[in-house]
Amino acid sequence: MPIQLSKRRECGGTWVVDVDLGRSPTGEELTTVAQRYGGRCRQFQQLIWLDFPSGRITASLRLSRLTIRLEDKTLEAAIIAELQQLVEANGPACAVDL
Amino acid sequence: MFEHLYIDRPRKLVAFFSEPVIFHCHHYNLFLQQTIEDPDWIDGVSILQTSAQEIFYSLLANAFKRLGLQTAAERLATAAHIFSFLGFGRLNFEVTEEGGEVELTHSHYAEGWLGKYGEQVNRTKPIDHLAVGYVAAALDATFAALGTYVAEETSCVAVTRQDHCIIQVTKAAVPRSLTPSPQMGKLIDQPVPFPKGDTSVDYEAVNEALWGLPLEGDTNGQIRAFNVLLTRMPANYYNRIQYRFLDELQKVDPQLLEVGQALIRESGHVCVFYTFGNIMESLEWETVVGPMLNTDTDWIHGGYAVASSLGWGRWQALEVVSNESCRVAIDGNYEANYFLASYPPAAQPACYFAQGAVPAMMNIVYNGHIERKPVLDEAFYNRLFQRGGVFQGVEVKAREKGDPWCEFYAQRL
Repeated sequence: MPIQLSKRRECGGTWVVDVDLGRSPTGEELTTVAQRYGGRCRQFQQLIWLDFPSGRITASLRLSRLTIRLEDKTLEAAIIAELQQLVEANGPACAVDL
Repeated sequence: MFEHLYIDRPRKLVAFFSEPVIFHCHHYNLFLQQTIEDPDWIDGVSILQTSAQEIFYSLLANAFKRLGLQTAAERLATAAHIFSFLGFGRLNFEVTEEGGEVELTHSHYAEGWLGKYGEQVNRTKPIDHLAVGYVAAALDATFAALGTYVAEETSCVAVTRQDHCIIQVTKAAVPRSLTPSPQMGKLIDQPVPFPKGDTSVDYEAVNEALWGLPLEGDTNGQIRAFNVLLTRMPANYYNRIQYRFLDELQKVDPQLLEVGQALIRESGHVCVFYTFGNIMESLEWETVVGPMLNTDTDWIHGGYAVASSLGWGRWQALEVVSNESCRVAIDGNYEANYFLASYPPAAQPACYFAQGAVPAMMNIVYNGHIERKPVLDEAFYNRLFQRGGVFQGVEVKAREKGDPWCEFYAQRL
């Protein structure tokens, strides 16, 4: 299933990308993405920040949505492609609540 | 710099080198500045620049002392670091004891203004009054004493649309007698044990989650969080500019005072509309507060749980009647703390920002239907507040005039 992307002009004039993965990501997945692209992953309870030299991705372990605020558009495209692959490879994180 | 932030949990205040610091976004910063800058009959620019010099001098002098900084290079580097940490942009000092030039990039005010108005309006006057005061304060604290230096912005990105602003700083011909910050002001002795409102929102859990976020300026010296451009501002800068603005208006014509008070209330309204509107649409809100929201009245409680995490003091909704009214207590509001340390007891309630903020929270939830994630722009703001049925508020108890805490009541007109 393709991930859903929407561009949004944020306060202060910055363009950001909201990504809907169709399911909430795991901490492990987000750490892997950060490490692969030279970023740093920090967790604050359910909130996750992936920090890169050109900006931040804000994610949540509760939500399928994450927000990309990166000035480096090449990096942004690479990470979006990575997220797409991740969703295709792993499918729904939890299909059934037991 | 995080190690120098002190969270006073019982009072829900945050101190940074003995100055209370609070979060606000660029919408509020720009609106309040414009309110003070616009009237021709007072020198609003001087109020803004001088207040910044006074308040930041206190902060920087304390920082230099506490960090044991002796050399000018160390002090100026720290001043630049603190400026970025607080979210105002980046400063590059090329100065000696005689003065010099300072380059400002990614200015919070200039870039915030361009983002908000840049497509519709051309600006002809510089906008970085806070940075001008900050630069003068940095040299005062580095080389001399408060009031020794004067600064001026000679090139501003909001006007030139180039990549940096320039601030020139020199020694004043005659040192000015300026008033330092009252720092934490008149604090409450003991927090009042308010009854817990009828809500599933856990204020303390929200406080802890948000206090745990390391919100600091990025490599550009900007704080982007909750969908907005934030600053961690010394509360006394806001306090000093708003009360000094009112003092100046009263000197010109006592009848202008009410107009000024209404404008400060409106700044509170603008703040909650944009700052809280954006917060309530953010991923951070959905993650931290979202799981606690079961009813519409919980959105109001959630808003105050966040407000009390921003360094504003103990804001708590005592009672929320869905779509009708709310009663909100503030124990140790940052406005009252400053007022009581700077003025004799007030004859009338004087927490003007909060007077605007409390009804605005009802407006954003019950008129703005923020849960539907509307686009928060000026057109929406005007549509929302220029029609009937808006919430209006009144400060029914005022610590600044002798009550034990401040209390506000908002209802539909």
